[in-house]
Amino acid sequence: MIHLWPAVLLACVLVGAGLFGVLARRNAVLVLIGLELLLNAANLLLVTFDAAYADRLHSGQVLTLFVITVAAAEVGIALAVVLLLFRRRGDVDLRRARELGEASAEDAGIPPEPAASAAPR
Amino acid sequence: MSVLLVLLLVVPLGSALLVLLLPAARGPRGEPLVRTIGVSAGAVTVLVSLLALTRRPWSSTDAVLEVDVPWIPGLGARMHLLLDGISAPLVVLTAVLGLLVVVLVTSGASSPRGSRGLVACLLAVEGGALATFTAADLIVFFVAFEVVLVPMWAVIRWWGDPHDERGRRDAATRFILFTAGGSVVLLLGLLLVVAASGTTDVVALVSRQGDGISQPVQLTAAVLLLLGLAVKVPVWPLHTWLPPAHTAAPTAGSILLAGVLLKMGSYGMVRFVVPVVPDGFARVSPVLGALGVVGIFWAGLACLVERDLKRLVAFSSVAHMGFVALGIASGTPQGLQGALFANVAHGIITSLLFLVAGGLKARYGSADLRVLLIGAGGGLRDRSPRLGGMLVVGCIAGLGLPGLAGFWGEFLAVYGAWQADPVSTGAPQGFWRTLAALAVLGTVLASAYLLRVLRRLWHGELEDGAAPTEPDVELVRSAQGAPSDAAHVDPAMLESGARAAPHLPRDLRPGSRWRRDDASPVEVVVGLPLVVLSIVPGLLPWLLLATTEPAVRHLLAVDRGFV
Amino acid sequence: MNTVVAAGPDVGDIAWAARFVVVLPALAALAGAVVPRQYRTTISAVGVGGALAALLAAVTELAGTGGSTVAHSVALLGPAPTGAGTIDLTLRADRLSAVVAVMVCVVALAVQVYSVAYQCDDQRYRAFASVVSLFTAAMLLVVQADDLLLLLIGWEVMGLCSYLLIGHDSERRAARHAAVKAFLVTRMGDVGFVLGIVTLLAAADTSSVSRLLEPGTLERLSTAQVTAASLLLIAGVVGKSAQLPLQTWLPDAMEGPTPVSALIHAATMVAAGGYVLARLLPVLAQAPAARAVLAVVACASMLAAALAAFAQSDLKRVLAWSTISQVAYLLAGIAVAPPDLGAAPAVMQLLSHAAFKSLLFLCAGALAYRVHTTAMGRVADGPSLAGSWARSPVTSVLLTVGLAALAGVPPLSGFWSKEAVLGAAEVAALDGGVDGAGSLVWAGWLVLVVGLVTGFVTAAYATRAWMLVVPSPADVPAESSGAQLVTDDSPPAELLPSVPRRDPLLHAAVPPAMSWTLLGLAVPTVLAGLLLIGPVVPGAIHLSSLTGALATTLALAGIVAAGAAERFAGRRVPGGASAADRRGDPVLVLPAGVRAFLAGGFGLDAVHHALVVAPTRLLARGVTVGDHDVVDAYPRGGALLARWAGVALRLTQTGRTTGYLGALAAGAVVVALAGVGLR
Repeated sequence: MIHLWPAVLLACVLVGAGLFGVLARRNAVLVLIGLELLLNAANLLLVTFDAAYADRLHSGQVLTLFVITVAAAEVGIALAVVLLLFRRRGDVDLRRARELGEASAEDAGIPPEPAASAAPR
Repeated sequence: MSVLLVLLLVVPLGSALLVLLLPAARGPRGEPLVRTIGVSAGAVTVLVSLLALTRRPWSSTDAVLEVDVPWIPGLGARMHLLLDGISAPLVVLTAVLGLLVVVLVTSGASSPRGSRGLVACLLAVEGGALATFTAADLIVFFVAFEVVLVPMWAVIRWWGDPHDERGRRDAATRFILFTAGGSVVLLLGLLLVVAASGTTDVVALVSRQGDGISQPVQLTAAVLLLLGLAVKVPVWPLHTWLPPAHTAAPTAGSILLAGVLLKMGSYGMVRFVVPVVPDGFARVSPVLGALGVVGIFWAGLACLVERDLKRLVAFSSVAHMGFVALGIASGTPQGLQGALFANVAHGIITSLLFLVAGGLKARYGSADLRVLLIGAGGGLRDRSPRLGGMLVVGCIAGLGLPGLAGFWGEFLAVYGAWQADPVSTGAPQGFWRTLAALAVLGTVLASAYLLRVLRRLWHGELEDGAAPTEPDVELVRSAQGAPSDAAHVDPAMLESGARAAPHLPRDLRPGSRWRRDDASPVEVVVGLPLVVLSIVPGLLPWLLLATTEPAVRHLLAVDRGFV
Repeated sequence: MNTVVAAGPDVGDIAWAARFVVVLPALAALAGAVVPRQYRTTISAVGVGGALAALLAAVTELAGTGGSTVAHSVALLGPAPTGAGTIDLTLRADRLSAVVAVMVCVVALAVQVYSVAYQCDDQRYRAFASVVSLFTAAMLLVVQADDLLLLLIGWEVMGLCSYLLIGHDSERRAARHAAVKAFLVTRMGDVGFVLGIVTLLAAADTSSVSRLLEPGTLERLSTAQVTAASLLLIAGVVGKSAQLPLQTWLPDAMEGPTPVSALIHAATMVAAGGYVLARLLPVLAQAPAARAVLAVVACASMLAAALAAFAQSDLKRVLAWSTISQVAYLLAGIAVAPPDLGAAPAVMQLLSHAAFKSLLFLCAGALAYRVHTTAMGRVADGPSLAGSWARSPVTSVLLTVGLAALAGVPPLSGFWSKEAVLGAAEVAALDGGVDGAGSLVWAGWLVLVVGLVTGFVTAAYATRAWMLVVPSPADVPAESSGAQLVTDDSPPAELLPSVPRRDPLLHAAVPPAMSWTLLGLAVPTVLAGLLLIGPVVPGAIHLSSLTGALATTLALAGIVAAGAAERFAGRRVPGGASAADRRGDPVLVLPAGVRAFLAGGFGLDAVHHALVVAPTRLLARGVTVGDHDVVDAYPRGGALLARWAGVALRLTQTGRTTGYLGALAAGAVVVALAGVGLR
């Protein structure tokens, strides 16, 4: 019988590392690696508790397979995006890639429509 | 014979699809086909509704025609339709108005967009309304209630007042936002009822008379349902979408809006609130009654100074629906009978008034009373006797003159309020009787503003009795789309109205043998049934009252001693 | 109390007669409205034929019901279920309804025949004839209705016809104004009428007069209910019968064509209220307070209107005010009707007033036919009726007869009917306390005294009107006066109330259709007293020689006083000192301020305006502002809120991927914590 705590501890370490990667790194590839770490932390927990509680349907294992599949698809698309980003900009710095955001508050460009337009008589 | 009931819904909705999808109906060359399909669909619907009426006896409380098949098993919703005494008058009214508006738009005024989409929208509204009036399942009711919104929005947005693009957009947006907002609240109320009672079937709900639904839940449900339906009626102060919508809508749209759509709200109150959550409704009814009376006065006073004829008629709708709200609020058989009668009468009379107002607006470019008078070159009395006659009948019926359709509903609503039960409603008898007395006073206000219309348009009096001033001339010219260059004042044009108005009824175009000042044959064909219908129910009130009476007694469980 | 039977096969002809009385004129109205405008003869024939057919039906009904006290209930528009009972909508054929129906049909027929000639230049004759037919049907419906709601239908349709006919010459602003005013003021009274019906309906569960008067029904109602219902019904009657303080519409209603004034605003519609109260007398009998109010209102109207009539300068307006005063007699007769006499005195007054007042109006029309005005006066400041004797002697004689009947000169009809009312008042005053109706004593005295005084004033204003119209002014040669007036330039249309403008040369003489009508109406004016002998008027009439002598003396005194006032006023006329004119307008004996006050109808118009019209207008403007700036502020505010919320939420969309991911992680933590915490 293996104790649960080493697996849980490992999962916590993975989550911390993943979160750091996701939030603190600028490089898109590294951010993706952070995401993978998060997913794998979840997988580890799922497998661990599946084994520990002897679920008859083994839903933990089934879900893990799901996550792996989804993660594979996600990484495929994400790496394609990163590749395209690199081709367009020459770098993969996420802080500089802000074209998809709404313009910042200063140049929001929202036409200040008069109240009357919403209030026909 | 439930096939009649199915036909009633399938014919208008199917024809709407047919008109939209048939390639042969596209373009100017498809107009005759559109007209054929539209008019025959309307006529068949009228025939079917009349055939359904002959399935007597109405004296039994059993539904005369019924369809009940599974629909969405997961929700427990069934496609349950039935036609009883409460639905029957509204179904016939809807069918008749549907036919008349299709005739009006396919043979009368044309639009640059062609009439294909308009006919499809009108038929869709008609079909949706017929479904609403026959629905016996809460979910079916809600779906049908929503179905009419989008086509009606399109009618206002795309085929509305050609002089005022912006007003059209605003009116259409207001219409959709108000009614959709009301629908959200209505849906919450319906779901609450379903959750508390475990059924969506109205027949079952009516026979239970609220048994098994606790008092607080009934109260909440009644508030939500009434709030949602009151937007549609509309009850003061939720009425501000109606005047712009009527002003912007084309004549056909105004007729359907006033004659059919408003009725869906009051019908919903009678069928889905009063018998379903009776205790909750009784608690809210004093508020509903008071708001109805406030509406009568508010709208009546607004009409006294309103200059735009279409807005004026729209406001008078608010006043008339105030009587309906008062009758329903009374919770008495007389009040409900009155509300149902007033529903139908208002649909007929207001349609007639909108027909005249729309016809005048098409001729003279604006519905402003001054512009109309100057444009018509004098009172309608001598210049346009047929249009003037329709206006007179509409106004007189609208002011609730006994012997015409407008009277009985208002009288019975007042009688019902006078008799309202102070115990179950929790409001003292004096309160209800004050409401009744004030409502009668409101009919004087109705006389005042409708006689004002007649004095201006029919007798032909400018406000101060003076000759047209330069600003008036300017107003008329701009309404008629002429260049507002003062050098080009053409007195002949003012004298005779705008010869070049592009939105005239087709049979009044230049070269027609009909005098364009007076009603065209199409307007007579559409107006005459409305004139007759404004008079007959007033003289023979039992036609409607005997039809609705057993169903009303059943809804209120009068014979079981609940009231 | 009368017994009521349903119309069975044996009384079928009465039932059909009763229905035809209402339906035939209605059909005539419909038929007249669809005949093409250019077929004038057909239109006239339809109008006259409708009235004639109704008259025949009414006579048949009278023949069937005259001798008995049985009332027949006749189905008309079918019972209408209200959900808590039914509204029967039946007619009632009995002696009272048959007698009054015959009277209405006679006047209607006279007016239809008369207006064939009188309205001969009218472009809107078709509408005129049709609406008069419709009015006839409505009035006959009121007369014959057994159901109060059926009565209400007739009642309001009469109001509509009155509106349409007053505004018949809608080119004139005064006519348009008077039409709307008449409708709105009467409608104001009808608020009470409708609520009265609702009260009765709610309390007794029936709107049928027959069932209401069945033994036991009224006894079930509380005094409060009966009093409230009676007072509310009286409010409606006050409006329709133009009693104080709602009388302002009737003098203005003289803007309508003169035949209309004769039919609607004298003989029938304004008296209909009295008829309705006579029908409901047993209800009123249970409400002494309501009868007291009615007596006070009637007495005030009676005297005030007679005084106002004295100061008018237009013959039609004199007649209008005298209508108010005479109808007040009728209502006073109901207010004091002792139980054993019933409403017979009031009905008597109704019939005789209809006869002599329609005669008077039609005479006024015939005289105005030549001079195009109904103004009275001797001073040469415009066209007037003065000197009618020289132009139309026969019409002048008939006018004299009518005025004498109005003044109550025996043995004309007005004398007998006024005696009947005063007799009833005398009974109430002297014996009122004996049979339990104690509160009637003071009301009886009030009606008796005011009625006698009003008789004096009535004789005075009738004499004044006669003196201003019939004799030739002394300073103008009789032959030339009419011609001179006619050939004057026509004054502007606004100055001519209700007289059709036409070529004077074409209308040299009164056409036979008009003069024969006048002669026909003179017969009942003279002979209506005979009704007292036969069994025609239901109920009993009490005549006392003392009251009769007193009234006659006062009437003669009134005539003499008016004559004396004329002499006296003649000396006051500037320039009247010349021997040529020793005579003046008798009203000049009154101070100018009083004259203006009386002629202007006691300033009640201004009061109405200040109390009702102005506040309503103010409220209406307030509502318009409020609708846009208060009620509509919420939807607009909602729209603004949504827009601002959109602007604010848009700012969160920064485009910083790490920011999004951080928010995501924080959200995940929150969800996890919530999951743990809620477990």
